Amino acid sequence: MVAIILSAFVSLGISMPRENTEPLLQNQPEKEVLANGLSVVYHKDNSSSISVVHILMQGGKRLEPEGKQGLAFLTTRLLVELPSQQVLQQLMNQATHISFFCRQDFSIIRMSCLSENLEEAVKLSTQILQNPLFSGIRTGRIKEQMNHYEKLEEDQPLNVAHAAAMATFFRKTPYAGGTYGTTASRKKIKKKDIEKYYEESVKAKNMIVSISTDLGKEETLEIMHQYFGNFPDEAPIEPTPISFLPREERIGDIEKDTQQTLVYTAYSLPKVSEKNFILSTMLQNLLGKGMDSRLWSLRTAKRLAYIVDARAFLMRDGGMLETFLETDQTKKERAIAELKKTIRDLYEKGISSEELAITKAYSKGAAIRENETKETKALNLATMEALGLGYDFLNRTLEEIDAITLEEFNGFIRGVLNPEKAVHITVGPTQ
Amino acid sequence: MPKWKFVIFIFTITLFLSFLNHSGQPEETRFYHFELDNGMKVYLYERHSIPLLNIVFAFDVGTKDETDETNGLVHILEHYILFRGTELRTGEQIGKDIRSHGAYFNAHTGRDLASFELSLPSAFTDFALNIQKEILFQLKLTQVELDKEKQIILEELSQIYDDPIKYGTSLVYQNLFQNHPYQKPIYGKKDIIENASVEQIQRFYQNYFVPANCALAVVGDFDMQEMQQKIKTMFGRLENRGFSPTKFEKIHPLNKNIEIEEEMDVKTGYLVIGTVGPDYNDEEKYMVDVLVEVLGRGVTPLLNQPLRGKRDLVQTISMGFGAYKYGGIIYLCLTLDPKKMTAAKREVLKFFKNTRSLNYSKSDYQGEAQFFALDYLESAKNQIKFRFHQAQEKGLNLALSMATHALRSDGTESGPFITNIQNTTSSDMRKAAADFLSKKGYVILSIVPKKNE
Repeated sequence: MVAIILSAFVSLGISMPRENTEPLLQNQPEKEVLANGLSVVYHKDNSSSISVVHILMQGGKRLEPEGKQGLAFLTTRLLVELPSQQVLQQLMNQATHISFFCRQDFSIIRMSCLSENLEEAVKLSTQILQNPLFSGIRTGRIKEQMNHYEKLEEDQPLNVAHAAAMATFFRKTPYAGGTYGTTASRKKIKKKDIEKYYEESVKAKNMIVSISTDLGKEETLEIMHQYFGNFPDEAPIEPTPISFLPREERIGDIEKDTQQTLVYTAYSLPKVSEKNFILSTMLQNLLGKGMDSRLWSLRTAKRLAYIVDARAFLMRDGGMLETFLETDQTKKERAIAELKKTIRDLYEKGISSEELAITKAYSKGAAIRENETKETKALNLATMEALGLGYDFLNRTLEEIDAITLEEFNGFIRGVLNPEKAVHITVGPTQ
Repeated sequence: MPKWKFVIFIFTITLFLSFLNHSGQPEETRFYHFELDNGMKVYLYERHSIPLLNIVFAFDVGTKDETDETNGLVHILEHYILFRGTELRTGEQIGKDIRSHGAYFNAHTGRDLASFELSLPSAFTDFALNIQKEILFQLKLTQVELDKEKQIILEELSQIYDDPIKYGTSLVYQNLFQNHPYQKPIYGKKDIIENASVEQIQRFYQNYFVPANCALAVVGDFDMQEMQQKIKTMFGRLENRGFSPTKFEKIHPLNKNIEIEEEMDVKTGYLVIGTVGPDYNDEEKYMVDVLVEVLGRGVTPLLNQPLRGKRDLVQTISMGFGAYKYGGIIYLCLTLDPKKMTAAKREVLKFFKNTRSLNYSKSDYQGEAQFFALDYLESAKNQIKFRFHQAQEKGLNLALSMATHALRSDGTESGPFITNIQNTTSSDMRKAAADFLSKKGYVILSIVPKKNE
């Protein structure tokens, strides 16, 4: 996905309603700043014999110059390109997995391995990261892949609607535009752009490394010091604040020859803060997650759809909440009306204290599930730190969610779900 | 709620057996299994890494138990059980109760089995067991509620037709498992769904949703002794109504290739190729696990050689293996430039034919060549070992693996999963390739953009 999917990325560290609130994580995460300014967040987790490391580089899509969308993806992809057959063999033998993704505010390289191979895996990946090859052949091949990925994304109606909504809310800002860019924007990206992007983002004070592992703290941090301690000690990126154009209600139909029609409505979310983070997650859950959510009645009572959902995307300077359902073409108009009515009803009347309690309970359960694996835990630790919430927010959010009042939540609902500022999109047959 | 998963890893399905023998487990855990007097099989796995409880009930009923006239009824029943109420509560009340306990609730219909899963904070153990018992064993069927749910299922059917990979894979299954009960689509047929009566559904419910046809698995943050007691008290009182499962024939491979071409409103091309693989209780499944890992998964799958590199025929490669009680499927899913479709098909089939004579391990080479050769076999074993450990982190998947294993296994496993993987040799791979990949009998399904696109 282009942006951050809140449910996966920012799973909240919320414990459940026991007498005394307990933190979500069995072991408290800890942070250490290396001498060169690189932040390492360590979390001990004995649930398996693997380790997951996330190397986060601030910048992401917002570092892309105008007209060169796709640069963040292309550069990060080049940073995980294996330099030789020998390195390939080593990674294969160790079963080390290296993947990556780019978001609006940062890029992340993820490395997962058997804990017994952690040192070798970190050594190899940091070697590649510090000595990347930006050759024309490699760049050209990756651009071709990006062209293909762009088409794959366009085959899914939800991706099409999401991209259109992002373009509407964040037009003329680096937040708009797909991860892979377009044929034209990729063509404009030259080697010097890639080198500049690399130099701006791959430096110690601009990086956060999180690790969830069954290995001990001392042993782990020693590895981190050894292999991340020599990244350049230069000033981090100071992101230029993004300003948005005024919004108004917009409607668009995108034609696609499908059996169903996607009925989609999106709203903008305020910039990320501890409070907004919690409130956005709760609103997403209230609207579209699980049985008995607000949109659930469009499925069970109105029988309009098999899938109803809501997703919140949070970025440093603003976010987006999307709601959608997929329905038969013959029910399209009714689905549009019912979706609008359901959300307008919530906007106008707000929720009761009983529904707030249920929403809190659901959000807590979801948070525990979403933080079950090392992969999500390490990801959330790194991204929370990067967004300025602090790595320890994962455990602190429990108190924050319990502290949300009815007045606050209803106020947030009224601020976000303003029908006059919604973007309505359908994807499907137009006749 | 998605009830269909494209990727099925057999190693996950058999995972839990290995826990019993795995000494390297860093977390303190306990495992226990027993059978209630009424025939219900129970598997418990206690661990405390996160305050979560995961419960899965699986029943030995799936599309294999349907006929052409009843195809889709298990799927309807699964939906009804999830959403439409019991003798004590309406569907709406259940939804509210589930939500207010922070729970995730879902179900899956498959070829062999139907499963129902609940995941929630461990503080609500009693609620979890009670609600599952009520939903599964005190169902209230009415035509009014059934008719409501049918409309949602019909929406689900349409959704599948719009997704190239789901649709393509569904067609591959239907053509590969010809003349076998597995052939029928899991979601059912539109006309049967539209005309389903409450009496038909009731018959399935009464026949199959009995303790003796059921396995329960609980994974998570609980006390072993307490949990055993709770389950005995709560589920041991369910009436023993007996059950004699129907036996089916094993799937026979096709004796010729079947090619299907479809057009959709897509921007790129999709190629799905399937062939019959070993069943769940076949010892060769371990070899096929490793073979699939080598050919189509991992850091650099062997399929990269004919399909990527200089020829650059495809952009993404995904290979998998699913093993069911009476047969399995090995599938390959590629995305590519539609113009390269014909060449990609040809290369894949040629490559599969040669897999019975490929070198998979360094030991297959002599002299200096050994030094330069990539050891695909060793790498695949490590990849599987990695995923084996990784899978331990997700409680609901573990519970599902245990419950489904309890119903699929005939008890003839030769040892722990990881040991069987580690014992696989290069010769085993060639044998598995000769048995399952090197012969005709593929279903080859391509999806390309509509001509006017």
